[in-house]
Amino acid sequence: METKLSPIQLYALTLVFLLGTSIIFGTPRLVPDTWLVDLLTIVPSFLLAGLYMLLIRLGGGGNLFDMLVGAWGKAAGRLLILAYTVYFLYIASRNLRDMLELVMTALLRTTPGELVIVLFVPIVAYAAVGGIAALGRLSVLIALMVMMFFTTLTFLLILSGSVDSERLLPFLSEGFGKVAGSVFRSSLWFPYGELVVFLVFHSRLGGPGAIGKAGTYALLSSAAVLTFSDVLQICTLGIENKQYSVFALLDAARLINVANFITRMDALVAFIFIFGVLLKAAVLLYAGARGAAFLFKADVSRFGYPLALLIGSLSLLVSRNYAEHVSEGLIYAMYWLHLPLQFAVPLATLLLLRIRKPKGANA
Amino acid sequence: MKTPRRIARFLVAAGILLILGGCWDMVEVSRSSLITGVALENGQNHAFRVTVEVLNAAETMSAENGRGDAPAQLYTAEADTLSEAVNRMNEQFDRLLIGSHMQAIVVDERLARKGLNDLMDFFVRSRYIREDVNLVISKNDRASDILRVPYPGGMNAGLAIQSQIFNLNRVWGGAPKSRMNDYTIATQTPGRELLLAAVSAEGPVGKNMDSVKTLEPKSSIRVMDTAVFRGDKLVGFLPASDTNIVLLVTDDLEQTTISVPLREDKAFAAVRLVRLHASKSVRMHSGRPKITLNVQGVGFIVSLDATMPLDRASGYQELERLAEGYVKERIDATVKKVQTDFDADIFGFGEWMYRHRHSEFERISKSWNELFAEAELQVDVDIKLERSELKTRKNNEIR
Amino acid sequence: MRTNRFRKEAVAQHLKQHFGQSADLTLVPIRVGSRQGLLCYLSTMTNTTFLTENVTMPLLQAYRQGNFPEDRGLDAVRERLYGGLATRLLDDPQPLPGMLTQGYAGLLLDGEPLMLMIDVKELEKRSISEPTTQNVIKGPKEAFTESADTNMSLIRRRILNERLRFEKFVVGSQTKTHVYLTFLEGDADERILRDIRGFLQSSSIDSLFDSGSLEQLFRSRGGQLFPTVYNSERPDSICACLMDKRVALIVNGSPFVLIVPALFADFFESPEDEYQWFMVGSFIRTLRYLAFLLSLSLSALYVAVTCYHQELIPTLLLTSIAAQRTGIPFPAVIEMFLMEITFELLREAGTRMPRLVGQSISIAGALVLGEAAVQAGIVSNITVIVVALTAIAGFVSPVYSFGANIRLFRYALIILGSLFGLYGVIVGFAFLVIQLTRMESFGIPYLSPLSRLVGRRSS
Repeated sequence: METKLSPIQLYALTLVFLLGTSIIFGTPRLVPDTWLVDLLTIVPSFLLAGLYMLLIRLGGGGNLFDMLVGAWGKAAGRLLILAYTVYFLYIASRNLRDMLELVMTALLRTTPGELVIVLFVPIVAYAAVGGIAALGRLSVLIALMVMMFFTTLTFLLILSGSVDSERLLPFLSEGFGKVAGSVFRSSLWFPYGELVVFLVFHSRLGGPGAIGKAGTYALLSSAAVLTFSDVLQICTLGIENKQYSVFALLDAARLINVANFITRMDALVAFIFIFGVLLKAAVLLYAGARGAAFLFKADVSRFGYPLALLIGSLSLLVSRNYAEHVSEGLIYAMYWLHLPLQFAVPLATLLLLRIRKPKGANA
Repeated sequence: MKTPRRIARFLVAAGILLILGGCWDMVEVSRSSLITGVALENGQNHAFRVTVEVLNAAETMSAENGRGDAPAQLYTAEADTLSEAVNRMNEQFDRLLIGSHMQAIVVDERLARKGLNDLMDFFVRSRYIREDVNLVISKNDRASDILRVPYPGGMNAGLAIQSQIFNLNRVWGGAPKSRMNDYTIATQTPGRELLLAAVSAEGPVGKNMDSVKTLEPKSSIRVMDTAVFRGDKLVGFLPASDTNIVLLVTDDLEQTTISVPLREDKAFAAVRLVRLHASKSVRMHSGRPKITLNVQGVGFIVSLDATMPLDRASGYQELERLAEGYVKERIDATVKKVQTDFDADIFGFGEWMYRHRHSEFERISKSWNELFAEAELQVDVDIKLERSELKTRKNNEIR
Repeated sequence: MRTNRFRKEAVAQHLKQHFGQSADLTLVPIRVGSRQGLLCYLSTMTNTTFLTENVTMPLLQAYRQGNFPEDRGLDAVRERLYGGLATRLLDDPQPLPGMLTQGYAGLLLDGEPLMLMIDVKELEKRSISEPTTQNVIKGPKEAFTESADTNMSLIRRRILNERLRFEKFVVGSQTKTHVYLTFLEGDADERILRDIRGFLQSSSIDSLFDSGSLEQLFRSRGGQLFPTVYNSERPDSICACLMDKRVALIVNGSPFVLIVPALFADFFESPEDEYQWFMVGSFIRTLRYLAFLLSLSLSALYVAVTCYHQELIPTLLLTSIAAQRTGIPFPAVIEMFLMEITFELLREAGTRMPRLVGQSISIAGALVLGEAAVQAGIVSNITVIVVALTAIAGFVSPVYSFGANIRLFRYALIILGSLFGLYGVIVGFAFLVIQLTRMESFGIPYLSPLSRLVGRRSS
């Protein structure tokens, strides 16, 4: 079933993938001017995406796994594939954990987290097993919903008079260096670096030209939306308030009050988030299942549901409390996982491929 | 066929899952009651004494078959943390308490003087309590007396407070918005101090609904002053007659009416100002802050005590001059009063510097309140009077 | 080559053996000239007037006039007497019973090697009337009937295009029902046609009485909750779909004609939308989508929000609900289920009741039962309102079979909502959305926004 995604589907898939969880949290609050960090991340993210595009062009049409085996040889290649599979599943479980935190904070309270996860995980598997074509269509729908809700949220916030643009000042109060540092310390890898997943099935995404075009638009749009989301959060909450909020967009949404009639809009944010995580987790699960299928020479659909249960339980076991979850994401995962697997290994693979197949340089 | 068997298996599995599940978070609405108001005071045996106003759903405005009983009831408990006090209410009360529709939090003056931060942590963290709940300071002996004032028509005290403050703020500017969100933002923003509404209950607080069955209500809640804070500690009160000027300076005033004194003795013109905007700029000048304030307003004339040629442009011009002068005077006086009495920058001049002249402010931020007390103020008022309602000249001029 | 000679007695014996004591087997001895013959037919497949006028009378007249060339036998009979009717010549008595059941009358002359089969099928059928399920205010009011011939003619007379084709298939090994595949040559997708042809030819079902069974067979390929086959009673609707490059299936015996492939958007369109100003049509269509969402989710949302998320309801509304629900002995979920089941009972009873009694049931049931239940304190007012709204919204879809399956999902959503609150409802919706995006109707994604097929296929 070598179906290709249409450009719009590819755009929507990339957009939701990038926005899915970041839109609620905003970038990690290492710096007051988080919106500037979002804006600045465009440049390095394009470079990183460019690296992936080079890999696609030079990979000779094969997916990430073929490329790895081709560049590193069978043994090391398979080891790396295993690493990537586990990596994708780990990210998926982190996303699930984020969703769990939101649901427990905003919607439910004493219901055991296990049940919440157990309810969600089969749906993720159901989406993943449907294949890339179905995921593409799903992403168009979800992208529309997310954008619609986000616009409604913005509009209602402005109508309630809660937006004060003066709260963006002071500008660069801690200096530009910190801002630039924050770009490379966290913002680049999450969410932009996760695009490495797309290498797993890029052959179904429509060819380097289409991927380049749709990808560019998607990167620009998601940077714009994330910046705007951060700006909105700062303008309604204030910088200090935002830094101590667990879910900044949720706190902002709680301030909506139009004519004392349209109030209490928390559910909108929960809705956006759950669907965003659904798509991200489905894509990551699909990539993980492809990895497992490659390694164990079986069919992708056999791995769908079991791996889904795996990421479900992992999401519960992986951190003891919220602070551990956040610090794990910001510090440990960054240095041990994101940097090597999103940047170092692809770069090395690219170089090795170039050495082994001395093809002409790409444009 | 295979599919019915698969469906059957799925259904059995789902059924087992669901039976094992439970409804941990389910709340039965008819067996629970809403908390609409909370009063916090010093406790005798414990740290806090908490009085909750619980809504009696059958007697509120939205129910048809009430019997004229009180729309809400009050229950009191003492504990060391607020959360414990609220959760232990069932020692006296039969239903489950739902906090998500709380309308007013009344804090006793003495507790406020000790500091709000410890009190408010519970309310700010909780997802149930909305950010636009009204936070007020009570000037009575007992904060819970505020909740004991009955209102006719099935309205409970919490809703009355909310409604009163909202309307007073919108129509005259006599009270700040006084919401929990204001507390959060003001205490976190350097260079601005918190302002909350202060209420007190007048008249004998009723024990039942009889006091609202007469023509004149025997007791009522009065929004008297505005409470001024330094940080999270209450330091004093500002009279209601000055509150609208304070709100004018902070650019939070929507509409107000000013009584402008005219040249004749005891003659005033009432001017209603509807679109007001104040912009400030602050800079340091030889160790003292120099504040420039620009006030612009648009209004119309509501009443006149003396003859004034309002059918000619000169009449309007004169009245504008008088109004501008009056507003300038009032602003000067109020700022001076705050500078001498309170030593707290409630106007947000420091905040302006924090945002627009950040590095300068960083150096002096620790001592801003003291510097504010020495600040020089220069005010520029520009009022545009557009119309005079239905008539031009006063009645007694026509003959 | 040995030629069979039809012998009157042999054939009569054969038929009596085959059809047993069947009361409608009629064997009439005839004479043509000096030859003996036999006319055999099934009286239930034809109508005596027709038979008399078209078969027996000409024969008698020819006999009386006496100028019948006896030597030419059957050929002469065929040409001169039955030239206006559909006739076939049979040289083998084996297919004879089969042809009799198809409505042929067999005429044999003793000793001839061939037998003449005359198509005398004249069946009583319902006349063309108004559609019962898909009503429009402004538009044609003809509906299909059970006879496939009438249906084909209703289509043919609207599309006066030579490229319109009807291909006949026989489905049902025991009932041998005729199914006609209808399409516009050159427009319909060849792959869909091939798929359907293959499917119809290889189907192994015994009996086919209604197009609904055929629909179910198609459906076992796609998702279960949403139909991938569109059905309609209205010729104008079917013709619009044919013009839209789709394929129709007419099943003899069913007034519902199927259209394949069908997409999600089709089930929210009524042909009436085309006959009005597009703003009105779009408005009504949006209303239908909204009604669909409402009918699916309102009950579940009500249960979820009042039981789990009281902070999302405005205060006044919440106090009103709390006041109404004082004294109700059941939790919200049970109340909701009670009312929903009651409503389903009412609906089913209303459909099955004999027409005379049916009216009283619906009015009495809805009003009295609801009111009385509220007065007795068993359910609250608001539950009745929610259930009634849900039920009414469920009828807005122009195609009945669409709402029928998705009704079941409503119960699943209510259960999820009662256990997990809004989260459960969202998860239920996510499942629905994922299924919709995964579904394909004959290779075309189910949620394609274009109801006009532009040949976009995913495989």
